[in-house]
Amino acid sequence: MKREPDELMIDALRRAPGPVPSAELTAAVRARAVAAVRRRGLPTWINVAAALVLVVGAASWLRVAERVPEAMAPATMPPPASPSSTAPASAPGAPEAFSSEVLPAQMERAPEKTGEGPGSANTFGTPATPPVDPSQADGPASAASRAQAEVSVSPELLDSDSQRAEEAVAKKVEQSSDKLGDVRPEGHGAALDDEERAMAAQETVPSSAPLAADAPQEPFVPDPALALPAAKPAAPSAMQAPAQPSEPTPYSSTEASPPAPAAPPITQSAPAAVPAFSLAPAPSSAPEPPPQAVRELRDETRTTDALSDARFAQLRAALATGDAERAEALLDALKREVPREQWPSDLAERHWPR
Amino acid sequence: MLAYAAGDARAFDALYARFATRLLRYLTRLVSRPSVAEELFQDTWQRAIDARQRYQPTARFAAWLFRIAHHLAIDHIRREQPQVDVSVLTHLPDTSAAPLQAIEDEAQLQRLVDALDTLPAEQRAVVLLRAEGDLTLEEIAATMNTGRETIKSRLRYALAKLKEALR
Repeated sequence: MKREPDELMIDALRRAPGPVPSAELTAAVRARAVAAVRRRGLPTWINVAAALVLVVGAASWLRVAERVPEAMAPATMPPPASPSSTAPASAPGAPEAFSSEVLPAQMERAPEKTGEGPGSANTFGTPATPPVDPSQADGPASAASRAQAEVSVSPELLDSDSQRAEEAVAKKVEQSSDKLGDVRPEGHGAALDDEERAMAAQETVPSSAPLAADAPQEPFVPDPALALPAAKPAAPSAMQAPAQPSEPTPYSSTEASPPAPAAPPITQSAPAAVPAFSLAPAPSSAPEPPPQAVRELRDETRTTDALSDARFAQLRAALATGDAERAEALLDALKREVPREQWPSDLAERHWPR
Repeated sequence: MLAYAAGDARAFDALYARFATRLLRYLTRLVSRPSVAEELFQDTWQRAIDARQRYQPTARFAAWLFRIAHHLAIDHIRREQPQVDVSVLTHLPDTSAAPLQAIEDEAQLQRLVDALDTLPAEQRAVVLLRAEGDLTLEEIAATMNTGRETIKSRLRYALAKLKEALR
């Protein structure tokens, strides 16, 4: 019974006149409520869109990043300097990317490196594959280019190069023999001794620097006595050079000193040519190039033959002109240097009877 | 409120239509200044909108909404005027002979509202939460962070004063 007056008082307060929310107030509150609901839906779409953009962008970037080295590889390839270096074949397993910073430096150093020390360059007598300075060829790109240059030399090119080298040597020999023929009868008059022969032989063989400087297409044959011994111990390391491109190679110190057994592969480019040559796919019809020692012997023999032929011709001329003194000097020299079996039969029977 | 929290904007319209007038009357009579009441009204709804994801249906929405409004109003009152010591209100007027059935005309209702303004803020809040929010004593106690008996006592004192004012 006592609660009833309290409830009547509460009901009276509820019925009492009071403020009513205005239309503006209602609109403001409802606008906030609606905006809050719309804001809640937007972040989901924004998050999804942002995630998609990120994924697509990352994928595109990765694809571009993968294609850029492929596109850059042919663009940064060194221009063909000689037919031997234009072989497009790439070494299997060699990286396709070439460093644009290393290769121009190598190309700049190519002319000055063509005539360097024994076994330092001209693996196959090709001046276009110069020795690489290790200080500039530490990266894998240089190793790859080196391997590619070594592998890309084909036997046909080698054979033509060797033939051209032989022709050049023959020309040199003729020139030198003419000079000797002009000088000896007047000066020494005697035949060549062993020392002179050795000098004449060396004059023809290691003259690759002037030859390469005058005609870069003409190869030179490295001296086997100097190149081959250094080649054998370093050949495995040269074969592993592309796999270990980051090792520093003290190239400058090995130029003057004899190569150590564990010498860097750069200095053994000539020895590395032997296993590298075996990597090249030789066609079955192509003739196999002769070994280097055989070529050396052949060149030496040809040199001697050319000298002898020249002096035999001079002897005939002296006999024909009646120059007995010159003919006698030439006969003595030829008897000492040329075995009788190698004499022309008519001259041998007439002037060197058994 | 759960429907609105799920994204249904029309659910908010239903809530607003049901509680907007009562909330504004509560705030207006509690702070006694319509402009401040409207500001607190918008703040209350904004708080409710922002806290819609955290709303738990463990209590009535009215209790949750009026609790928000009460805290905002009390904070405002405490900033505007010094704390009222309700403990001095020990005198309990006699309400047994009050002619409550006579509170029918506008004049008496206006006197009742004017008498409400004379009550201390905490007693006024209890009466208003009971009248406008239709909250139980427990809900009012939870809203004001006090005990149920305290709320009951405050309500009794407040109603006694109002009855005395209507004589």
